[in-house]
Formats: sequence, structure tokens, C-alpha cells
Amino acid sequence: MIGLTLAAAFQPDDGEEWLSQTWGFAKLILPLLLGGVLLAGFLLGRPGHEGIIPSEWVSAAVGGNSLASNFLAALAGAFMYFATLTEVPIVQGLLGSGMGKGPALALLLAGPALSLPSMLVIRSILGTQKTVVYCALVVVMATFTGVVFGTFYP
Amino acid sequence: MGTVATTETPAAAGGWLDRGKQALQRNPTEFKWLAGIIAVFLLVFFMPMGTARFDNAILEGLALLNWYAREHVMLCLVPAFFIAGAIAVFISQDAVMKYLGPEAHKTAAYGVASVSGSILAVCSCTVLPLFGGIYRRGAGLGPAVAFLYSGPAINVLAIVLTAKILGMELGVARAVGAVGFALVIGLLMQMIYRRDERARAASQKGFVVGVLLRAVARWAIPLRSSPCRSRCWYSPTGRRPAPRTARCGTRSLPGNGHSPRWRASVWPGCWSGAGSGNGNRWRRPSGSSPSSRGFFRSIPNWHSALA
Repeated sequence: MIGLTLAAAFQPDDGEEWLSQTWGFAKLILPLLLGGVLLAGFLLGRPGHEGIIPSEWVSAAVGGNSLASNFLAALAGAFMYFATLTEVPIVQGLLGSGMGKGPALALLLAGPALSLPSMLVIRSILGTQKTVVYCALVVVMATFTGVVFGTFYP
Repeated sequence: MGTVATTETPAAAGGWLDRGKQALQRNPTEFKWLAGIIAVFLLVFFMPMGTARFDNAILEGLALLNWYAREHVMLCLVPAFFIAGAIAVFISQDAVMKYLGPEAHKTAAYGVASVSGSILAVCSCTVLPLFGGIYRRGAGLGPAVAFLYSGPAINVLAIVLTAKILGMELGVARAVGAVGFALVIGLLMQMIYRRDERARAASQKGFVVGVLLRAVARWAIPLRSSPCRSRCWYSPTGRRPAPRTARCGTRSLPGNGHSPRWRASVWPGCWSGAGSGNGNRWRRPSGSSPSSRGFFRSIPNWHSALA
């Protein structure tokens, strides 16, 4: 597939432009993404392992269904990097160690969509202000949804 | 370059403090270097190397990076970059604007954005280059953000897994929430930034009248008060530059309180309209630096109206 792409890319004119745009995106996105992954791993660790933030803190902070626990869950989800499908075992583990259902939903809604590396990349495309607004919107809406869900399905 | 009105500082009065401030104004980059070096030094001086938790965390960071590079970069990211590049080149701006642009039919735009988001992005990192591609090609902020959110969030597999492992209620709630969020957040972003979006749409459509006006204005305004001829740096979001960071010719750029569209019309080299920029750096108007060849061709957008 890569061979095909490269072959097509080296056609004159359009192909060259295509390659140039691709490279531009790569230059724009890769450093931020990889740096963000490194930082996320340092802070929160891989799924199942700890980073510098102890997991006891995390589960202590998100038990129950208070506004604070929902907010913290949404915030943690926003910063943490979740690969596809990995959020499910993580939430399972957290539910097991005392997380409420409301915060779990908040985590599920804010987690896969946002992560520290992706925030950095979006910032380079949209600008800091819009990125902050977007992240804040996601976190706030996830918090409220979590609270609502938690009150009906504790 | 810094043409703050020349206030003479009496040699002795104020002394080193004033001289320090002057030095700061004259060489901002040097001071930034110094601040950066000091910050990094303090960081590494005080980092608790040797404690188990910290060492483990460092290893975790590297382990995550290693896993990420192995699992995601070749299979997800590289194809995504190519696809995003293809979008930026091959899909005509009209097509994107027709379906996702600010004037497209609202429901259709958000519907298309959400659906394509969930189809195209299996890995949460693939959506980022695609988002960049369609955003630059003229998609409205709302649909683009809906696309951005829905990509990783509306993942059918993940939702099914959630329902199975964590319970039906969570699964259904997540599905409903994800879809709803994509739409609501897109709409809210569009609403909050509607003025920026209008300016961006205007600059990307390249109104002929606006172009002529800008061309006329560029020549009509005398050189001294048109600071952004060849030395002005502008930010891709179109909201600045402030004179110092922009290193423009004069201290006060007019239009700091004016609408983005007015600014774009008067200082075409400085503003390319909010959001139609091309990256994360201040840069000169297209064509004046070698690295801008080709890649930064979309700036300034009003050129395309003449082509």
C-alpha cells in the first residue's frame, strides 16, 4: 500500500503537491503527538500500569456520584490517552475499585475523543483559544451527563 | 525593527533596571532562550531520580511511546497523513464547502461529518490529520469539530464492547451521549465562533470585490503605515499580531479593535482570515521564505480568487 501510494505520489504536479501536503501534516502533527504520548505515559502510565499519579488517588477521587468526581473523571479522561477499545478494561478496573457509574460514563465520553497529544495537535490547527473552548465543552458536557446518568442509574 | 517611540533614557537615572528593560525589549528571543535554559535546568536538577515512582513513571512514558510507535504510527498515522494530504489536494474546495462548509445545509453537514467521522477514524489519532485536512479545505468549524469528536467517540465496536462488559445501560448511554455530543459540540462551537467563521468563509471564497478592495487599499495606504509589506509575521488564527511579537514595521497596527474581516481586507499580508492559516507558527506572507514553497500555497487565500 505504501509502495502504491509513493508511486502515485511521485507523479508530477498533483502528486508532488499531494506529497508536499502529506509531509506538511506529518511535520505538523507527529512531534506533538509523540511528545504528548510520552507525557501521558509519564503521568498516567499504560493501561494496567501506574505512571507518576498513583491509581489510589484516581479511584479515591472518582468514587460516588458527586459533581467533583464526575468532573475529575471527565478531566482525567480528557488528558489520558486511550487507544481504541482500551477504555473498556480501564473503566472496568476503575468500577471494580469503587468508581461510580456516573463518573464512568463521563470518562467514557471524554476519554476516547480527547487526549493530551490530540489537544496539542488541535491547538496547532485551530489555535489555543478554540482548543481550550472545545476541551472545556467536552469536559463540562461529559460531567453533566455523568451526573444525570448517575442519579438515575447509580 | 522595534520602533517604539524613542524615549531617551537619562543615562544614570533608573540605571540597571531601565537598561534591563530596554535589553528585554530589544532582544526578546535571547531572553526566551535564557528563560528556557533556566527552566530546563531547574527541572532536571530537581527531578526525583532514584525514587521508585519517578523512575517507573519515566519507564512508563517510554513504554507507552514505544507501544504507540509500534501499534499506531505505521498502520494508522502514516495512511492517515496520506489521506489527509489527498483531501487537501484532490478534493476540491467547492465539494468540501458544499457539504461541510458554513453555508451548507445544516443537518446534512453535521450528518455527513458525524458519519464520516465514525467511518474514517478507527484509531483516535487518524482523525487528527483528516480534521486538519477538511478544516483547511473550508469545512465549517461546527461540522469539522463534529467530525473530530465523532471519529474516536462513535466507535461501534467500542460501544458494543461497553454494553457487553460494563452493562447495557452504560453502553446505551455512551452511544446516545457520543452522537449527541458530536452534534451539540459542533453546533456550539459554530455558534460561539460564528463571526470568525464568516470571516474565514469570506476569505476562502475570495469575494472578488474584497480582493479588489484589498489590492486597492494595499497601494492606497502609504508605505509607512502599511507595516506588513514584507516583514510582517502573522498568526494563522488571524487574531494577531501584536506589534512586538509580529516584529512589524510600526508599533501600532491599526485594526486591533476591528473585525477580522476589516483587518483582512486592509492588511492582506498580515491576516489571512481567522483559521485559514496553515500551522502553528508565525510566518511571513507566502513566497517570502523558501520553506513556504508549495505547502503554504493556501495562504493568503484571496489569491485563489484571481487564479
